[in-house]
Amino acid sequence: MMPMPSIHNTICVFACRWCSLLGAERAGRERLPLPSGIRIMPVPCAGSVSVDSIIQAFTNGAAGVAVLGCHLGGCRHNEANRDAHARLAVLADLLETMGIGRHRLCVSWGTAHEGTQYASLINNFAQQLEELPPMPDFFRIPENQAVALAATKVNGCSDRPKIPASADEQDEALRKHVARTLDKGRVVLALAHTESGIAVELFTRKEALSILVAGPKYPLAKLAGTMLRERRLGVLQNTGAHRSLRELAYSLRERGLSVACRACDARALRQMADLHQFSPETLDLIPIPCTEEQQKVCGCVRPQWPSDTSLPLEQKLGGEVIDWPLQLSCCVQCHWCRMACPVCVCPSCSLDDIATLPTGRVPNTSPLAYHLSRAMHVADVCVQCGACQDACPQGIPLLRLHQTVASSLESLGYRSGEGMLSPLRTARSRIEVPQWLDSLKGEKHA
Amino acid sequence: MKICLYCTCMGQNARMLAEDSLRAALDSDIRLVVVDRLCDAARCREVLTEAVAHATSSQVVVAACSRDARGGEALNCVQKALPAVRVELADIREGCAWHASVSGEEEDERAAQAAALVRMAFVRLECAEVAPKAVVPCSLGVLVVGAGPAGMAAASALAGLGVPVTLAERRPRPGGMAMLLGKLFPHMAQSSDVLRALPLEGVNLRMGCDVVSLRREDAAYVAGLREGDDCCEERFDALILAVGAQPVLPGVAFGAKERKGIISQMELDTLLTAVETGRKEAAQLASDYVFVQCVHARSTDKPYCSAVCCPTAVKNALRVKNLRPDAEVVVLNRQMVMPGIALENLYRDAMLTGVRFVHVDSLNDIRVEGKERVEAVVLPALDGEGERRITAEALVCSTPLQPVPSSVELVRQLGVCTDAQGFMRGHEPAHPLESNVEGVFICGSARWPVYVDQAVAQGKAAAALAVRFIRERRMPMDEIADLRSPAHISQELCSACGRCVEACPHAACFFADEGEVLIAEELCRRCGVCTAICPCGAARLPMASPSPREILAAVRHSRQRSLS
Repeated sequence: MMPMPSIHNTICVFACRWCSLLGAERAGRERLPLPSGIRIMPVPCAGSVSVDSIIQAFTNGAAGVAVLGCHLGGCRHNEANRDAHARLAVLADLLETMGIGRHRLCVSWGTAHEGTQYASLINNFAQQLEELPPMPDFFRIPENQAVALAATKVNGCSDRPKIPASADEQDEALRKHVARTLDKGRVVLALAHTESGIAVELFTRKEALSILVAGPKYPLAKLAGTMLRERRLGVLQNTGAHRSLRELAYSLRERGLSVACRACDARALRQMADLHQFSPETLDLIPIPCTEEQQKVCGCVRPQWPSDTSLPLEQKLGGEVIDWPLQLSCCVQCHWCRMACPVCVCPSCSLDDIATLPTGRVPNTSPLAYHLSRAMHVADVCVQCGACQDACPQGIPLLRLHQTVASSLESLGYRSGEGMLSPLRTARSRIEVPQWLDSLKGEKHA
Repeated sequence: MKICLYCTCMGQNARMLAEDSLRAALDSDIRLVVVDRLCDAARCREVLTEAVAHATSSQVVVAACSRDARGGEALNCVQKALPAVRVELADIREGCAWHASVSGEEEDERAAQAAALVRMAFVRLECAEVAPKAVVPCSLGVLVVGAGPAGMAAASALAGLGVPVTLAERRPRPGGMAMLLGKLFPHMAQSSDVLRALPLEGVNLRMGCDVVSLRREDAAYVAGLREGDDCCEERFDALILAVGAQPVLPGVAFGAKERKGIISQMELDTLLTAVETGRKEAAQLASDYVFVQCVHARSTDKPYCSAVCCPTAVKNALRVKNLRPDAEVVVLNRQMVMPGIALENLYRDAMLTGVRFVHVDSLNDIRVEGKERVEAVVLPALDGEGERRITAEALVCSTPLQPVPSSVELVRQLGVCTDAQGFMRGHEPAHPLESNVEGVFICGSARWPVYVDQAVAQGKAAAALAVRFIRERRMPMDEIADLRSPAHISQELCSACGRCVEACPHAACFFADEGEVLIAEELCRRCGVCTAICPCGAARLPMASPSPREILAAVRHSRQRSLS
């Protein structure tokens, strides 16, 4: 007889209907003791459990989430659970970083086919949850509003060190490089020192080069990617803005665009091309090396492109611990981090889905859940350029969050922005695509 | 109006989960109706007309046992009794009440769990997107590729069931490899008798017809057929691939090029058949046979055991002994693989008849003597010193079966999975004859070397699966798959980032000409992986994963409790 469970935590169990759902049913038929807090949700495959669902369960008060699937290698859907395995491993690391704890997520493959196996797995998990320290409140706002304000002030824009401007020699060297590019007839996107400060310019003539500067940091990649995108979706679809952008994209494609940018922008552009936002042939990069001072102020650990891999990311980051629930309680949900992000290419964001928001709270999303979900959405495409951090009015060190995710992915052998195969979506590389698929294209379109 | 039908399971559930405590735990807008047995259609009609007759436009949740127990049946009964309302199941017996009988928790805790399950079911009802089931004409029939025993069995069974069936075979006659064999193990039946039991009346026989291409188009399969110089394309509803295998040739093993008397088991089989039918004299058989097992098998090149060569060798040894009792037969083997009662008896018969089975550690230990002809085989002695010499007039190499390269190429065009050797792979272990491509079934030696009787059994089974597939137009593996509509992508939300294209395990997501991402409905198997990976919520699969609202319904009360 199993120990009597006396546990009142709510546990969401995502059970693959090919294995653990049968185990759950059998456990009932065998009348095995199970805690009453479990909520079974059948899914067609463990690979179909989105990270958002898991985070949503936590946000709304689940003490633990279990994802139970078939054994690795025995998935009914051409090993879709291998991708899920990698994704959930990254999520577990992130939960640990965020102070929620990796042990609140139980991921198990092929261990719950039988009633007894299922019952012992769930009972052990419930027991384990009972022993964990209490869950951080996802809606936590520091008790004293003053603390929040102080935190805002400490991180705030006014005191934040500015990224230093480039030296004259650096500007001069860049101008020479750009002049050579212009000789080839290409258009160059770069920063310029104008009367009103630093601005972005499209250079086509050499005469204008005197105002060109290597400049401080500027999110050029997002802009260049937008300009190159020939097909704008969503709201811009049929507007005048869409047409003029489209014309711009066509002319840039004819002449070719060169971007004078830093390593982070180079990675971002490469990643955007990998996300099929534009065709990479159009683009050419003029590298601007970052000075050590600039790297330090940015908090950059990947100042080169391609990345320097002599030292693992984890060691480069050091062991500094950030109280994320506290930091993120300063978030005012302006969503600037998302707007500035070069690899957030979606015309709309699923995090805006009103159905996911619990009611009765202002602001009614949890900042912790928002940033957790966002970090997972961009997990394997984030190039750690720090645009989100630069854009944050509250000075939340978001780059550190994304660097942590990147270091989990590095342990899976992946670095973003360098054209590698993401471990979170490997199916296409594993299966042979039937040739007849081509025959569908014309038909569907018509 | 929300109605929850609580099946007490003739008092079983009520003992552990009292009606009153469940009613207290449920939201006030849900009306609880208690019924003693919902899986009884007559009782269901009787009770429901009385209790719910006046509530026509309502949502009904059946709180009963799990779908795999009688829940599905209960659901059907209620749906039949109330055809106008939408019904959903909440498993509160296996999923809740039966755990209560042993865990000794407070009753209201249990009731809270049951209430959450009912609430989740209501949310599922509200969120359900119902798609009409596609109706596909199924008049094209089945193509069976390969007329070996497996293909013949499949075609014969299909024709017997009245399904239009075409049997395409490269050779001029049906029968495949079984035609080359005279007697078949384990029962020493004549192969012609076995094949005669598979009548091909009503089958569209296409002998001497080469299948040059296979592809899928919409819901049909298009096969390119070539007969002589004529090429044509034909369409079918389902495919049965029985493309067979071929024996590996001994090649230059043991110096077969320089010496006479080294033959393959297949050549010996042909000779024995000739002698048995009186076309040749028994004297033409050699007096001393040495069989060598596992030639070119279990080697680095072909690491597998083909499993049919040992029984074949034993069968031929018995036939030699039968036709020429004075002949000596020695079988050199690394290990005899003779599984099952019938083969075990065959093996015993062979030993009783005087066939000698000699173990060798490695084929490299075997040395063949004789310049122009094989004269003897020399083995190292058992104690490691000296040698053993076995007189041999003929050396028979038992070689394994291997896939036919052109057939492997053909099935790969369809996207059917093959292993490293080229044998086709099904969904082992539970659905071994279903390939990974919907509507394509595999049988016979092309999926793994089999005996003739096994090939026949597989052919018949594949025919049954194909019939089921055509009749119900669905893959037997995914029984509820096409009750739901396939995944689709909302183009307004999609950024065409290609994440789903890379992650879809069935290659159903693809880039169309204009760069937008589409989902091929024919390939979508409703796994929901695209919905999990899509960051903008553009990929949708109705009813696949729990909707956000269902998760909320599942955990809502726990949050309220933790706040209070």
